[in-house]
Amino acid sequence: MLTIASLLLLLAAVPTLVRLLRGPTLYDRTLATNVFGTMTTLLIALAAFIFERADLLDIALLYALVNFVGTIAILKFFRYRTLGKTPPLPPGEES
Amino acid sequence: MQHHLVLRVIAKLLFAPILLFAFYVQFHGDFGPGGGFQAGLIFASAFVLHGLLFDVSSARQFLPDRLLQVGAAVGVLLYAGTGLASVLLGGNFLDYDHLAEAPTSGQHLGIILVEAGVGITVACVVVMVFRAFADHLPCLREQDW
Amino acid sequence: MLFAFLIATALGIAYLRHLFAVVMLAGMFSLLSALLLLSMDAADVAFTEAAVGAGIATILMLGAMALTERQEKPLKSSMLKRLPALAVAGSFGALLIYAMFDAPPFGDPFAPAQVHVAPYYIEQTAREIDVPNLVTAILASYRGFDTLGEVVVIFTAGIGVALLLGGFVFRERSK
Repeated sequence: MLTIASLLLLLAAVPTLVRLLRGPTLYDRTLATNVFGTMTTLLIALAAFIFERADLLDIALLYALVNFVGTIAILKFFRYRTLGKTPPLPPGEES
Repeated sequence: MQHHLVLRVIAKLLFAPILLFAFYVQFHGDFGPGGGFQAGLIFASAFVLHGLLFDVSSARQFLPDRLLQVGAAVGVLLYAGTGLASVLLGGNFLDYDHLAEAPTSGQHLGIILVEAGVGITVACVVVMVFRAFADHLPCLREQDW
Repeated sequence: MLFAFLIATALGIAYLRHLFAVVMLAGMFSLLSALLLLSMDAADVAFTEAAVGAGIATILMLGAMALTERQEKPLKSSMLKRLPALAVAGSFGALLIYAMFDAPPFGDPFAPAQVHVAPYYIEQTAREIDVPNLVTAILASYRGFDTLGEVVVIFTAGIGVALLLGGFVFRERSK
């Protein structure tokens, strides 16, 4: 059961990878990266149950936390084109 | 980032759990995967998240640059100091057997001290590097984008 | 399957000229390699890869990218000029693959790396150090001197970046 689930997750990773490599816009790629991060988290958690090693769950937890930070950084850069002081948005573009 | 209410609330909610997880990795490194290096990186990513969402200038108010520089040095000194302490107590450099009564508890103490040194240095250095980048970055111009 | 993903990502990194996408692909590459390490049962290494690759490395690469260009420059040199580079890289790769045939199979208990000091560590850690995680015991105690060197390297790198990027030490004075 768990093995089937992880195989299906691996299969689902293929279209994500295609979207990441071919993605016409940057937004597609950002989304694909994020989805892939989530899938990796799930895969690691599944592996923890398949191999019955609880310490692998730490890695899944770490991915869930750190991937969030990375995605925020990418999105901030995407929106404001800097990582430092946030510039004021041009008028008419609020929020 | 004044407008992004959701992001700001989520970041405030996540800040403490990330720090807690970092402490867990730091002190649980003897039993599971992880250790000082990884814990330092997780610490740093909590502060980097704060710096991303609330601007580096407000992050400086509670974690000034001077503290980061001192911290980076203190970590290395803690590591080397543990080694020197074991020399003073009659062992070889970084031979923790002599730090406590029994050799194994000496080893435990030595490993915890050393990992703490690694963690402090890595966290401070990564936050320092992030701030150096973030300060330095001009906003990209429209035609470059 | 993971290897195929990894190779596809690596090719994507080499092929794409769009550096923002390359940064994201590099993050993905680290995710995949962590999965690969995990499948080899190297939990500690996977943990490190996860901590470095997914968050911090992506952010630092974004910062580095913002300091340079957003698009990689198209190659100007002709095909003929690039042939020697291809030959060198190809022959080196062939050499590595040739050397791989001589390497012991994965997990071989009689591989040179396994018969030298590894049995000592595995047998003596419980008695001498009494720490459940063998990796921590080796890194922090048996190989403590190496780790000290690594910490000093990280410290030096941090100081170097802070000084080179004109970080915060001299900022007030130069204004």
